[in-house]
Amino acid sequence: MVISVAASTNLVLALSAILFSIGVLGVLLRRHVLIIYMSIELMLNAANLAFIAFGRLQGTIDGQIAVFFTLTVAAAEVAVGLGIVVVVYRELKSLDIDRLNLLKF
Amino acid sequence: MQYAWLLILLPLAMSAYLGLRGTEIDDDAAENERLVGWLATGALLASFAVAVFAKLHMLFLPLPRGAERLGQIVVEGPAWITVGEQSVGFNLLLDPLSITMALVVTGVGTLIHWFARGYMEGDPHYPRFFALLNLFVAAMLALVLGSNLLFTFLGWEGVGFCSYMLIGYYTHKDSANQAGKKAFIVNRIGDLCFLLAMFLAWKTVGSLEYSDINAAAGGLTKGIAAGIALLLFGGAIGKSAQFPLYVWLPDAMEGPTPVSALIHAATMVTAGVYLVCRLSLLFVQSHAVMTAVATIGLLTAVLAALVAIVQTDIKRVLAYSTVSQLGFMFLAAGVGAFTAAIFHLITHAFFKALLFLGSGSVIHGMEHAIHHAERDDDPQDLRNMGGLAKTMPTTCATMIIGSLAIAGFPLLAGFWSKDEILHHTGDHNMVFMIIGLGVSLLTAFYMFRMIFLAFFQEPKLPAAVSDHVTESSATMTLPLTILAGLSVVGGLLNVPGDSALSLLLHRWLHSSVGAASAIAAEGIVATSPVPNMIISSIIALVGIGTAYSMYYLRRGQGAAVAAKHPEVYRTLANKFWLDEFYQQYIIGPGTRFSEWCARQFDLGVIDAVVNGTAAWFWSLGERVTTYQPGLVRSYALWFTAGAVGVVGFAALAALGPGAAVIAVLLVLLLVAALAYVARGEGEA
Repeated sequence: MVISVAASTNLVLALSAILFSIGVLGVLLRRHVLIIYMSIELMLNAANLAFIAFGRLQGTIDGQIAVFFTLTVAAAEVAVGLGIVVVVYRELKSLDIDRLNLLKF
Repeated sequence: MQYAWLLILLPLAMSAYLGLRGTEIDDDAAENERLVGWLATGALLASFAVAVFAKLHMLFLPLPRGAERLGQIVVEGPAWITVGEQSVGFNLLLDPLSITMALVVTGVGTLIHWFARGYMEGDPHYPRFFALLNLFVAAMLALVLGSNLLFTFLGWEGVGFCSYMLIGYYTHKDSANQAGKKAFIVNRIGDLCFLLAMFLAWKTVGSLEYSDINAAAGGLTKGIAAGIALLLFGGAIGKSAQFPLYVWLPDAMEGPTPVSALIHAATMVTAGVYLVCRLSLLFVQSHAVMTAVATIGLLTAVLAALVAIVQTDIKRVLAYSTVSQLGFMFLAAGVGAFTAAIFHLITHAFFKALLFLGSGSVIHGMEHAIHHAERDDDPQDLRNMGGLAKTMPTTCATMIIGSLAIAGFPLLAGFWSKDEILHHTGDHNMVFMIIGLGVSLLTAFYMFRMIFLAFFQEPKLPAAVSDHVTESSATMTLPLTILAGLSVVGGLLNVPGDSALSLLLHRWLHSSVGAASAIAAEGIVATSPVPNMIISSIIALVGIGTAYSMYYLRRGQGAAVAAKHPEVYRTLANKFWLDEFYQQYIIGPGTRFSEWCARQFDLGVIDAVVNGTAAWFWSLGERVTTYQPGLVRSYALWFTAGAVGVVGFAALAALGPGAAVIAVLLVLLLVAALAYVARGEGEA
């Protein structure tokens, strides 16, 4: 069975959507800061997947370039984010996100 | 004649200077006080010089072609309020009437300032006192020189404010504060009438300029003219302390004595008389209004003279005498004798300033003696005085001259002016004149009751006090002497007769009030003033003689008469219960109404609305905060919901409503399914 480029793009996008949703739910439902972190990475990579699929569909390299940028930014973000996680742990001796509840009136 | 502005600006500028920098002119306290006193007096003296110059200038100014004598000069100033074609500005009106008033105000005012330098010596708030005194005179000059009702009103309110500040000058005394407020509030009633008169004049005449109103007065309907005149007279009643609003003036005695002199002689209370004369052409339009003015004046003269008989406070005797004499002035204005009213105003300014300053000198002396003896008797109470003729000879002599003048002793100032009033009144209405003669009798009596009680009976207080009473300093006795001189010769301003030197004031004021006097005198047969003079001379002597016998020859007699008629005495001592009447029927209900408002309306409506609104928003806020628990994941949920919303909106635009709903539902289904799968793993 030969699958056309357009059709396979649809499949890849669906996978991307599913991965993204998993990421969202991970952020919403899990309480461990590092798991949430991983869920965010999952969402980023779902987006990367969509970039690549669109790039392939259009036959250009733009999608892949965008992915490289995303990866670079994500790497920087990880450095900052993990730094914050370390500080949070030093303060709270815990990585339960629900204990960070000071952001309110 | 732009320089006429100096009249007002000199005392005004000095007032500002003394008010702002008065405490730090010189490092040495005594030297600073001396400088402040001189500066304040000097400013007024300069103002007086300007007034004299202006008067001479007007006398010798070349007359316009065809004019028999100089009418009036309007010095244009900056515009204040412009409405359409009409404009009200800071214009000065210079005519014989206003210049005469300015001369009296600045001249007598200067002498009072001079006296005050001595009287207020050592007062801790000396600069404030003189700043206010100067402001008082400046306001009075604005009142007198303004060429329209609004400018006059500015001065009118200015003197009201200054009187409040100065009557309540001794701020540590509660009675002084109360008296200041009383003066201000009672005056406010008159001021409201003044305002209404301005509104009516603006609506009907279309201008507030005196010249316009006087010119238009003849063309107005009788009712309108009478309405404006009556409302203005209502203002005059308040400011000039006529019945039924005279209650503030006796209480104004709480202020320092020079202030009393200023209020009673040179400024403030004469404003009402001046206003009536200023708009004389308006007043003569209505016979009823003129009768009302004369009647109120006469009634006030009678009531105040009766009350003055039983007063025991030396300043209160003088205060009621002022009220009574102002009544005479209104009586004169009411019968169309405007010149006589101004004449009496001038002579009264001389002898009443003299009497008040004299009483100030007496109080000053008594106060020091009582202080020296370490007692706390009332230094103003006539019953504590006596025998002062020996210890205060200059004060005694000048006070006697002042009393003779006000009593109408032949050839002194008051004799001429009061006689002119009574003579004109007699031409109009015999009954009024006879009552007026009765008031003259009372005047002579109560003035000499005061003289005998204060100066001639034996001292009532122990020798420790009475031996230490000393004559006041030259600073204080010099103005007394000058004023005594003026009280003697002041009558020469307007001696009846045909010679070149007679009726000077009458001829000088002719262009200001002559036309109105002529209208008022229509159909009146003028009689000779001579019989009247003889009668009133006899009456003055009878009054003085009665006082002499009751308070000098047989001393207990006054008290015996009072004891025989306790009802009469109590009624007089309580000023015909007028204050009690106000307390019972106006202040009482007013206070109760205010309290009701405070409790029911203010708390129940205003506060309830404001607090209710705040409480509603507060509870709304409380409810909203439950959506902001501080949990990061709940914020993420809102974030996601927003994102889903945006996606849904994009889908709606791209796919149409049906497909969009299906897409969103699918997404939600997927989410739900994943959530189901992920359940039970929700541990950190």
